[in-house]
Amino acid sequence: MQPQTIYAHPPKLCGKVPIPAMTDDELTRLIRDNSPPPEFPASFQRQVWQRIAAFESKTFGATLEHFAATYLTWLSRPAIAVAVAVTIVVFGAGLGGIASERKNEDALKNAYAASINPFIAAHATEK
Amino acid sequence: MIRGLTIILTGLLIGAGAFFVIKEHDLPHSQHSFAHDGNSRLPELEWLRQKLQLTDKQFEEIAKTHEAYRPTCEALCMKVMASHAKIKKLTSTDRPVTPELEEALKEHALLHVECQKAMLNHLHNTASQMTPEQARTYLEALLPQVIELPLEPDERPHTHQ
Repeated sequence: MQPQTIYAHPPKLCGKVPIPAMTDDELTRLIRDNSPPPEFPASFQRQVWQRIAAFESKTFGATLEHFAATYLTWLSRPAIAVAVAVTIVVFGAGLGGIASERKNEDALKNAYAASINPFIAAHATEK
Repeated sequence: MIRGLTIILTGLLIGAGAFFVIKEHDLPHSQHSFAHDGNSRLPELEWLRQKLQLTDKQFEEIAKTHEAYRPTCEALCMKVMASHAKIKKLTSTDRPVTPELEEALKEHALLHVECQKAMLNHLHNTASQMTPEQARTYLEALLPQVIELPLEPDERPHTHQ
């Protein structure tokens, strides 16, 4: 295959020898071999990671994790920990009291119903 | 952070334990406790007094109605017990249904209707001594037990007073 000619009419550069014709592959190799490597500032890599961390911190999971870590660390303080634990226990006991009251109320309602129902009274007597 | 998590879990465990312990054991008697009979000699009526917040006058009237109904209830109770005894006696492992057993079962069914009528009349007599709101609460709580059927919201009783 005939090498592809870069210049149809190679220019005369101040009388110097014109650039010889090259194939595309040869030209690509020439550019790659002679291009200087990019120079990055010293802080470039750190800046990239900071930008990645900033993006990730805005996701829901990261926010939740941050909140949980902050809250649980705050909860480690003795006074606050005791106050929260006592609140939970009192809340549980309160709910238990309400459930017990409701159970008592149901038992008394059933006692009243039994006092006016001959069938229930008969069954109770027969037992 | 681990310590904080441990404290929360411990609090939750103790709270859950307190819930179940208090739920399963009766609360100490208090002024508003349902377990107190209020010296009425009719402890079964304390549910009415507390739940419906009856006045003393209302409670007195309702207690009289309740005591007036007692002989009817006791008589029906005796009939029910006799009917049960008869059915048990006639029930046999040899034959499923004898004519006597069928007759006894029919009597039992009619007795059941008689009891329901007596209870319904008593409920409405009692409700007539309450305010409309109290009566509605009272009947909503007890009618399903008497008719042995649940009541849908649009089937709930309305009172004419």
